[in-house]
Amino acid sequence: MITVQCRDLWKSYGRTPALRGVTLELESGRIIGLLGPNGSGKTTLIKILNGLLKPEGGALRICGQEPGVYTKSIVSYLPDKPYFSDWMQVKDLIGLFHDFYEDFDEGRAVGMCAALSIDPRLKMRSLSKGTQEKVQLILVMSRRAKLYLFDEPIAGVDPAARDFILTTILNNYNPEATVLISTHLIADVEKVLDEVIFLQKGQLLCHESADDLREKEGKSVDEVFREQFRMNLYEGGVR
Amino acid sequence: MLGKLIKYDMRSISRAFIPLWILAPIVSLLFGLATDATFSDDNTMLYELFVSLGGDVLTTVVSVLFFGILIAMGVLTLLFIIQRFWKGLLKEEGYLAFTLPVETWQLIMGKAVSALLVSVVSALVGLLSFILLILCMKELRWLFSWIAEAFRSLFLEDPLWWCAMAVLAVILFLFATVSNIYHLYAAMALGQLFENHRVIGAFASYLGISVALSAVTGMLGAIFAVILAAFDLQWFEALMEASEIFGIIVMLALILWAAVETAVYHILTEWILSTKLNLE
Repeated sequence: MITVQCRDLWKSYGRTPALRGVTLELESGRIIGLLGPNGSGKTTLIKILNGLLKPEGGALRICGQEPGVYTKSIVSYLPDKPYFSDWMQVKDLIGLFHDFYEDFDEGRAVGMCAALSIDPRLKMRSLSKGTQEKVQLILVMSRRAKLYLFDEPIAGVDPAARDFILTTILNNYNPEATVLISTHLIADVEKVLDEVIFLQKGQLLCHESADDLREKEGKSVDEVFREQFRMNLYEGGVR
Repeated sequence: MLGKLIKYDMRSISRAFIPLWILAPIVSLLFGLATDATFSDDNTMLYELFVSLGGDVLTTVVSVLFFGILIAMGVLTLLFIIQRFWKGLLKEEGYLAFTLPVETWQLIMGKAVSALLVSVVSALVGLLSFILLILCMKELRWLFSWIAEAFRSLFLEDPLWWCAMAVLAVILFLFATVSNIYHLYAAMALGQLFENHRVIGAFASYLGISVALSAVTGMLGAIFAVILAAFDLQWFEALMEASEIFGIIVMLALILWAAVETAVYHILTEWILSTKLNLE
């Protein structure tokens, strides 16, 4: 089943183009890496998919619907920053997700917090940055969503935390859903990816199976990525 | 969903406002008693107690507290309205708010309803504090009875009209408050369109909207005056002479104007946040 259908998506910030005619389809049951250097348009694409941004051109369908209230109810999104109010305790955030998302499994969230010894009565702002990120990840993974969007989930955390994040995603996502992970730290996520999407300067460079890419190039996805973007950088220098 | 949005906004304010709403009438009561004791001619026990505690110093402290709390309540209400919209929708919290399965108008209206509730409760607490103050001060009690007497005589004279005016005044207060809240929202929504210096952008937008509003009201007033001058509008003169009907018409016109302003601000804010949202 096709979860995401993008046709010729365009988006710019002022005069700076962020996405330039991106067309792709994402299937359910796949874990997909959205890969590209900084400024390649990864976050912009994710923000369009979760309804935070409107594209200036092109068409987008998520499970057959245009972005709106319904698609927000089936998309579970983890941003790369804390998004809770200062006054909130962990249990308030759990209550908020329970109130707004029908697919939220409160028991699972409480259980995961208990497993990590996170007291639900603690104020979010009193937690360490790492624990705040864990709570947000728990909330996102406690939903039976149809599309999971992770924006740089492992950037700025230590290797042990990276393993925890990836394991939590793998152990808890809805197997019928599509998981899209944006990152530029490819070596860490490569082992979990079914497909990879390379973005550069807002354009789609490639979208194929991770295994096919490795077989075709005879290298790891990380090596292909490094080569691809190093080469383009070099070409840029020659001109 | 709107109710749930309001619930979370109200919970965010309860920590700051509930202590203030409780404190304001208590300090007002103390201020009234302290002032009354200080200026009292009778050497009552209360007076002696206040003198033993430092008399004038105590009155000064309590009076500073009283006016300080009233000012703090007004400033905090304004800051709350701005902060809940700015932080709640346009900064990091916006990443959660705008990905909730709700319509953009519900997010805006949720903020507006909680802002209105806070404004109304703060105004009522301020009024209650003032009434308590007057009740405590023997020297000023005449003012209270004078106001009561004035209202009684007016209501006896034409109860229906005064009731209508009172109801219209309350409605006008609510509409004017909502329109002022939405004025701030529209300015902040415009401010977030700026790539840099968004706060300055929002401030400039607020001033810009105010100037535009003055120009529009001035223009409408001029057009109305020209129409009146151009035609022999005896009906209007007759209407003005019937001051009772004229008063009600003026109130209705003000309510309508505030409603139109609110609608324009809401449409502008919703359009910007639906199509031009640019979270930092």
